[in-house]
Amino acid sequence: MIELIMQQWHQITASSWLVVFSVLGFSAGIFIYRRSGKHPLCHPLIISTPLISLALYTLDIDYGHYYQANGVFNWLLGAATVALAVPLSQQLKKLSVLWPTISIAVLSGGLFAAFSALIIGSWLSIEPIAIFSLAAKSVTTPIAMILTEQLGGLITLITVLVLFTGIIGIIVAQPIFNAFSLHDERWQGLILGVTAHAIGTLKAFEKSPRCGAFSTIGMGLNGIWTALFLIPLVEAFGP
Amino acid sequence: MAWTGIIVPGPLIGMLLLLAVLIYPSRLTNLIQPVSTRLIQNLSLLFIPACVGAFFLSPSINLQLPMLLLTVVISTPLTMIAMTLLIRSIKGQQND
Repeated sequence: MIELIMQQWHQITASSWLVVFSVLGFSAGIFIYRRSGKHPLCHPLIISTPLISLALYTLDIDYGHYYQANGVFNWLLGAATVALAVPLSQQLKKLSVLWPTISIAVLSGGLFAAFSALIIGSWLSIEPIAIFSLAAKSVTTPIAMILTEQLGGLITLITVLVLFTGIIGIIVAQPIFNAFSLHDERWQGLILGVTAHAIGTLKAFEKSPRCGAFSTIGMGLNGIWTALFLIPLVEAFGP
Repeated sequence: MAWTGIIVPGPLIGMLLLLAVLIYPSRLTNLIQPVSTRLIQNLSLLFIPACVGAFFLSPSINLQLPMLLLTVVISTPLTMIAMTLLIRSIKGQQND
């Protein structure tokens, strides 16, 4: 226990002035994102990360050094994961009769997302370490990062792949709903949340609050569910 | 944390515990909400350090990147279609 606390303490105290890069980059990202009318391709992460890496290259700062210096953010990620319980609990209270459909959809959707990624990944003969960094792609980033770390994948890869999944998800969602004539906003929201996590949920809230609420449920439940099955699944799948 | 062979990450256990507490109506929600909302609104900031790493990947992983992106491009719509068909078949039976 004490060892665990000390480990976290070291993570926080390792932080240094290099945090400034992240904060400045993020501010620039948010500014441009709002200016663009919240266009998904202007997501703060897409804007800020090239700027920061450019700064690190020009100032000749080692990436490992920068990552360590941002320990306080990595530590907060744990707290943020716990915080996801708040919106989820508020949405869960609102529904009862739809439970069977919601649980069947989330359980199979989450499984399908991870399984299809593993199958297609091995078809395309991607190396095991990269496949491990792919499996958690449709889960919200804080949970995906924790899971990928435990699978032995690369955290740097999963953040990018999760982001990419979200963007692809919101681009293809509406055409798919139209093609298969799914017009109920509640289920559209649930699917957006399960397959495209937070980016899908943002999109769902743009449609309607109800769509967004279902998306929050889909994202939250899929995060919990995937955390339970992913590690045994990947182990059974084998590299 | 290892529990009956299933490994559940610590923060997720924390989330489930908090969820179990918040499901019951109490004043706790109002107390936590201002902090949790801020934290979630600015979640992207916490991903930046890891995301920047995408520009510092080893050459062998860089080589894999197009295939990884292709996997996402195939798998994501596939999952959406599967879920759409599933929900439609459930709803169809109920004539809802």
